[in-house]
Amino acid sequence: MRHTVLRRIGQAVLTLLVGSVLVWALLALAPGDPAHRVLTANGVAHPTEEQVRAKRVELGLTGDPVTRYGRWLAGAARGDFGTSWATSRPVADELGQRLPATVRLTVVAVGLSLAAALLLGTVAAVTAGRWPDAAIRLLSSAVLVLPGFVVGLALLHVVVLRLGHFQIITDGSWATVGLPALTLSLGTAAAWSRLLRAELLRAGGAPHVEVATARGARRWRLLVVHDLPGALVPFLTVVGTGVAALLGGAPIVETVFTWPGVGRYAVQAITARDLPVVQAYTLLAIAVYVAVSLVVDLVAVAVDPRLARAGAR
Amino acid sequence: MTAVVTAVDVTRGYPTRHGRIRAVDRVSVTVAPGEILGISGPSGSGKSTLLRLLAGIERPDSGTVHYAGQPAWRRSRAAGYPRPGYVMPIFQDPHASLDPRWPIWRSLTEPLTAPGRPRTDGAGLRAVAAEWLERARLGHLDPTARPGQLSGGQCQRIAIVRALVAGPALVVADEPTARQDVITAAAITELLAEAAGHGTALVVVSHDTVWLDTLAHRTHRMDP
Amino acid sequence: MWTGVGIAVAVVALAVAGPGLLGVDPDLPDYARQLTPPGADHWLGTDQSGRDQLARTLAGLGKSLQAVLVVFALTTAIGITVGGLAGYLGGVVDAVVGRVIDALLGLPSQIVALAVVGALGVGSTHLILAIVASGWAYPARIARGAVLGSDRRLDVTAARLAGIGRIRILFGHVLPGATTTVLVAATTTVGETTLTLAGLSFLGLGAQPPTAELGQLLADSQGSLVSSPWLLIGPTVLIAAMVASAMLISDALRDAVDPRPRPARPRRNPKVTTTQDISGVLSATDLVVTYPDGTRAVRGVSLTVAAGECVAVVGESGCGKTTLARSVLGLLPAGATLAGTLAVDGTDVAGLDRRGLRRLRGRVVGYVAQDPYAACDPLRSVGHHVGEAWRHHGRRPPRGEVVRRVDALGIADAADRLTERPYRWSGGMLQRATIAAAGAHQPVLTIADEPTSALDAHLADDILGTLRASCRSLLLISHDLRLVARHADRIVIMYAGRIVETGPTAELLGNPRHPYTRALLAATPRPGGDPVTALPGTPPALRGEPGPGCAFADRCARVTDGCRDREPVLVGGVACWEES
Repeated sequence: MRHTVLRRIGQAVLTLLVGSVLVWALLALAPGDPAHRVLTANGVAHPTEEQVRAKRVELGLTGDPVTRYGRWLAGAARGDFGTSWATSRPVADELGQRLPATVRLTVVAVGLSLAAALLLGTVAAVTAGRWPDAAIRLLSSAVLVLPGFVVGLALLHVVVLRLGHFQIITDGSWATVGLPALTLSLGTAAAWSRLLRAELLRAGGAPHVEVATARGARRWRLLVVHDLPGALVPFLTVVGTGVAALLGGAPIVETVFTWPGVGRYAVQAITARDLPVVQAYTLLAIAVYVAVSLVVDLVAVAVDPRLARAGAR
Repeated sequence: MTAVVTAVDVTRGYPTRHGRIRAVDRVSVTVAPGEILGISGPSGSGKSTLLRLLAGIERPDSGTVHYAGQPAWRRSRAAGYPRPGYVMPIFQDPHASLDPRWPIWRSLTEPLTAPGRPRTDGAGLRAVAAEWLERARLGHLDPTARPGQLSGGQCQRIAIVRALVAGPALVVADEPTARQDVITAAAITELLAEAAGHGTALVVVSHDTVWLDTLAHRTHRMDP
Repeated sequence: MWTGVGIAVAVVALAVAGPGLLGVDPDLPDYARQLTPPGADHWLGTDQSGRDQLARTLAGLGKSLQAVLVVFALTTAIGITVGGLAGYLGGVVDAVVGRVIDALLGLPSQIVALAVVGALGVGSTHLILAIVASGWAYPARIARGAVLGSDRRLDVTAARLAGIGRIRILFGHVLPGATTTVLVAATTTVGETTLTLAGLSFLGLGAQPPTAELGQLLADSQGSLVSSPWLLIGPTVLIAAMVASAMLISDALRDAVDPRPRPARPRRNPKVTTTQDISGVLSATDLVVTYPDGTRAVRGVSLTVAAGECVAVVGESGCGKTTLARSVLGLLPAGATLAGTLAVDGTDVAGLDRRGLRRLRGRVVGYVAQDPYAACDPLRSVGHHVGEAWRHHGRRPPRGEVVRRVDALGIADAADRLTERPYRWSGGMLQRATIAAAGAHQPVLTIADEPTSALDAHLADDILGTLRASCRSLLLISHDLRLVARHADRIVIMYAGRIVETGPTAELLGNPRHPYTRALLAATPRPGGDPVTALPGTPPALRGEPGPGCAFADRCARVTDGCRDREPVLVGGVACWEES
């Protein structure tokens, strides 16, 4: 058990490292000389050799790759991602200012998705083959084939513009989080509820559930005591990977609703080729995702210790 | 007469979290042509590991295995069988023993297509397959059926036919009747006994000593 | 599947032939006709520059489709090559590649794509590269797993021992399966890729104007959403069609390659045709059970278990013995029909509703399953399993009762061991615990379905002894005549859904009369090492109405012409024309 936990933590650290190398390498992928670009962006149309060299030192672009990566990673670990090429302000400040709005959006979306998935998935499984199940499946299929932002645009059009129920300006506060969070949560809610239904039916078909039935168990008791815990591990795993979809969807939803979060800021940075911001944002999202996956996997091992045994082999 | 297989003081262990455990600890066995050696013992006594050592699927940590007097594992990786198909295996899980994508005639004649054997074309192989299916009292099966369409007992008998088709010197069988009903088990037993009658040496592993006694000439008991 | 293929064909046809058929330049602005609603001239209206939206949509579809296909081809090809090669080469290469694949899969793929576009700059080629950058990892993992796992595959081991070469095994056994698996796995990502591409191009990171992808078209229409919401229709429908066809096809492919058993439908009571009154702990008269697919597994069985008696039902796989056991517990699948009488302790089982059945199960009829590990919830302690026998009926087990019951069946340290999960128990011990659970309410009848066939043979006698001693009356289902001989008072031999012979154990084994009973005995190993004899042939299929004559005739050594004409009836304990 302890062995498995340590191994899993080691794997998470490794993933983070690979991710950080990737993020750092983005700079190398980018065409052109960054120092030159920053100077141009700051209004120096024709920088001299001298200026470029000074800027290179300032941006930490000197030395061999390993030292540069080490320096960059050490900075990132302290929360120092350098300065934005576009605004010359520290990237950490820019992100920190916008982070609360994104946290609000994501947390509410996760909550909505979980609530909807648990409710709809359970109802669909209990009524499998009857009309509530069919209706839920139809609804979730429709949501799954549509891009989230189209639903967002439609909601915006109907609810805000036609009915005038919500403020069109979303300011990143709790009061206006409803519509963006709903849009963001739709895809994951549909995917999770479908999986929960399938897993509940699978767990309900297990031989031990049949034995319990043969001993006089009630349907509802079986659902709560055996089916739900049996479906929990696969459900958790999918919730873990679903968080990636939420993180990836956030920039789009934030753009649609002009939500003042880090996702929208990152999209703007990409268009403006403001690489330090893109790097910081990516590393942040990767760290969050790796942490969530780690927690999900550890919870899964706690729920089903056989996973630890299988992992040790 | 030279023994088909001789193992002397073979030991094989596996690493676990509680250190290395010895599944097989200094075991010596020898099997003569046409002889059926039974290996019995409870779950976890190392029967299957011994079988894999005798088949040359795994290499012993210490001790030696000889086939027809020649040492196995002479080179670093490959087992030194006197010829391809010298040893053939029969496993506990019949469905997993056959390639799910292959028609059964192809699976059961595969050993005949090994390098060094006279080349036989597809029609020839099908004819051989039909003949063997008849011998195994499976003549009613469609030779183009896939394993998924057959019962476990039928797959197991096809796996046995595959083991026998190229005239091996030694057949090793791991719980070949596990989870089969008595009638199917008896059919499997008959097939194995008949093979031994034709001079093939057999090593059969089972936890069912009563069944082993009906088949084996000798039984080696293993304890955990 | 075919719906999916149909949609896919339609979408591709639209993308390929659509623009030509329409013959309108998608990039030609007409500032006199900005934002016209859909009509005869412009079926989907015009955009803010007066360009025909239908022409723009069809052109965008072509772009989007191309991008999706390129991503699919690249990820699959890279995945198969890298993953397959790593698995084949093994060693350090595989270790490194494996770690990289795992790490990439641990990253949120859309974010990685976003970042790569951020570095490379916007544009459709960059967008494709960005998705491929992490997208190849999934097919690579599947390919690597398929190749690596092949070393342990039994069919591959057999081929290797037969002397088949490594290359031929790779191309004959490993690659065909691996390629299918990888392709199917890669197909499941196509829908997601489509949506990711649409999303990123919506953000303006894909192809740059004027050649817009579907996502970009949606972004363009955002500005005029208030006045012209119809601009959303075309691109949305086409994206949805692409994703839907990808999902339908991949689901169907996955089901075809990996047919999972369909989840069981909720059980309902079987339909009943006739009932009568009866006596005995278990009493069946002319019981017929037909499954929804027409299989008639039990074909007129009459059977009584008296109080305190142990009756063994013996036969080979598919003889109907398990169906018989399940009917007594009301566990037949929905749609199964049951005719004749079936009563437990004077209660008609067939006529019971769900509540009635629930009261019967566990309290009047106990049940012991074949595999104790499957019978216990793997996530809960063994003590929980035993205690549930009470909780199922809304009670709490009396203090210490669970430990006492299990202890009584010969389990040392019962109190401690009961807190452990099933996988830490040995099979024999665990089966004792499930026997304790089955006997919690001292049911008048216990049904045990092959209770020892999943266990080591030398444990069987002990377990059956324990079972017999702890039950009031026992219906024991088995295929092993000699094993049950030491425990049953009476034996019932079933063949093809019927009872062919029945009698007190000593009498039946001492003087077996039905040829099938003799065949069973001849096939059963007995101590002393006499060789066994197999019965040739297979049992008949049990579809539909039974034909005339004896069902055993085809496998019988003593068959006469008369046997094939008239069906033998059970007289004096045997159903055989040659014996009665």
